[in-house]
Amino acid sequence: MAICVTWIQGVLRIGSSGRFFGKTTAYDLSDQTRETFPAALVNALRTAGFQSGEVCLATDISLIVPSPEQVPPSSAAVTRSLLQRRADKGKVFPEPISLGFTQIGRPVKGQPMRVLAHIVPLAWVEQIDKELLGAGFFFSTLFSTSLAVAGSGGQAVEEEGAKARLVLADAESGLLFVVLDPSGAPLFYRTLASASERGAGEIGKEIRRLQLYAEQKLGRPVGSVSAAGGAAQGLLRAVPPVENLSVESPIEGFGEESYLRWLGSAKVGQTDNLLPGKISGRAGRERMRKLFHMALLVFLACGVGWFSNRMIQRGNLVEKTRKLAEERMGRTGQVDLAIRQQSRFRQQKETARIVEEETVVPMAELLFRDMANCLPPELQLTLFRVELDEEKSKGGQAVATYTIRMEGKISRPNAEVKPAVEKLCEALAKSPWKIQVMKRTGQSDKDPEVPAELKLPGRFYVFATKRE
Amino acid sequence: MSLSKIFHHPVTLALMFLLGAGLIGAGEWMMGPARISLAGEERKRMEQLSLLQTQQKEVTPTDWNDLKSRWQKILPVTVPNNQAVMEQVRAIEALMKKSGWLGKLTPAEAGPLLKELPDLQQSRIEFELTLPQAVVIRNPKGSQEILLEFLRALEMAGGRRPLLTRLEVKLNQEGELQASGSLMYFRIRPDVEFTE
Repeated sequence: MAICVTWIQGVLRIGSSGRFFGKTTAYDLSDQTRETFPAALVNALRTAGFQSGEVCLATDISLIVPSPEQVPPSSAAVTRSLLQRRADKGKVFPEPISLGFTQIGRPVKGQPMRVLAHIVPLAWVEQIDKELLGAGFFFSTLFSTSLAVAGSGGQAVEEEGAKARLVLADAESGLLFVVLDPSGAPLFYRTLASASERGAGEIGKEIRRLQLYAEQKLGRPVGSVSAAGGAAQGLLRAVPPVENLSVESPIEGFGEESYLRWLGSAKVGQTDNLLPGKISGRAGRERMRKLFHMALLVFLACGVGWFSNRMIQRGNLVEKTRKLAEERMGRTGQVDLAIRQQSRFRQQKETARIVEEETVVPMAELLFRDMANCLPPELQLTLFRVELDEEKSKGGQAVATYTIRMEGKISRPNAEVKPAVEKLCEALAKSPWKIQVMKRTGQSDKDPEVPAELKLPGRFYVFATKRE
Repeated sequence: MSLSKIFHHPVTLALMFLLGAGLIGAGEWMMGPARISLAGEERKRMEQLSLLQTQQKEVTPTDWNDLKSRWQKILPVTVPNNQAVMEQVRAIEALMKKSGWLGKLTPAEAGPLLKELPDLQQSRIEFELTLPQAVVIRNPKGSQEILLEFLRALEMAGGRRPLLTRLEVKLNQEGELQASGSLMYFRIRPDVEFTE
């Protein structure tokens, strides 16, 4: 919400753009000088009930000097810099200045750009800024009041040979003269103080003076004149007709608050703002700073919120983990039971298998029985031993292994042992039991493990093994 | 220094930023272990359920029923206790007397069979027998056939089925048939019952 202030002919009017000037406050500061005005402005603002805010000021003070210029087409910053150098060089004021500029007409390619520079002493601007800043206000804009009149009735496209227009506007007790380009931009302005006291003759002279000035200095003859505001209309009606100057219909709805209204709609970034960037941008920078601080606070709050949320989520996760662990622990007994049952099942199944299978086939008996079929008639068996090799038969993948030992002698005195033993071994190998002979007479006679009496003539032995 | 100035001080602003960032970071950091813990617990749960399902699928009630019927069939051929072993000894002695064998039977203490199957034990009866010549002369069958018949009878004695783990048959100086060996009876540990 900007605080709009006009200081015209010594009268200070204050209104807030937020309130839309429904109620404005006026103060007579006609006795204030350049030096005392800033403090008086702050007092007036305080009196009007403002404690802080952005102050937009428009004034017709003669400290703002209009200067028509032509510059090469360029950006606003470059144009401002160029105009600044020219103003410094031209010594408009014997002190540093601040300026703004209004572009006149549309730029034509290949032709210089026409501008109206508004020049003001920098020290004054800085003094106002200092006072306002000290009181908690930001000095955002400073405009010439003529800009409030500019643009009224202007043409978008400039016609060839179009003449300038003179607007006489109410300015408190004075009369504001603004020479407007056909495009509506101001070419020149000045305020005639105490206009009503001067009379129509003096006003007519002023009109003619401006007409001459415009034609000779601005290169734009003035073709018409119009009034803005009730007092201006009255005065213009009283002025005798001027040669080559037609009187046009008055600008409707113009009043004392028109300046405030225009000021409320003006932007800080306008080129005709007379304040240097470091002053006019302060409010924006402060806004950004506040925004940044606010964002930081929000960030901090979000951090706190995030942390809290995460802690709640963490608590939920821990609780969920605990419940799952409890469930799992509760199920551990079930799993253990299942494992025990399965183990028990396997053991009992294997027990059943062993008892069933091992007792079904009387292996030793069968082997003994079949030996009779395998034994050649030349051999007489004196010992037959079959034994389950329990060491080799143990274990999950093991198979029952039997060791077989046969000892005997020749049944006929003239029979030969070795061929008969060979026959026996062949018969054993061909038997359904697939007996593998390990040691036998004639083959293992040098084996020290074979008892010597078995190696005597007429004796035989066969050591074999059988794996099911 | 006013509160506003403290608030606007760059150090305060930096601290605010760091605090906010720290809180966000700390929140995330503290979530990590909880997430890992939950993921681990869920993994364990899935593994447990999978194991349980596998175990339950692997052995069905039908398997248990089949095993139970097999178990009931094998129980009668085993010796449940020492008394049963002695019954076997008496039965074999009766057989010996009937078929004319002389010798002795020695029951051994019950012992484990396989360490993988602690429920299954063994009870052995060692035998050393001689078939006198007089018996052979009286019998039209040969000594070998007499032995085989006796062995068959041994394996059926008392209705319990042993495993003949050792058999040694030889002729002594007098030409008599001597048979020695070991009968192994399976024994289910007395405290073991068939249970699912």
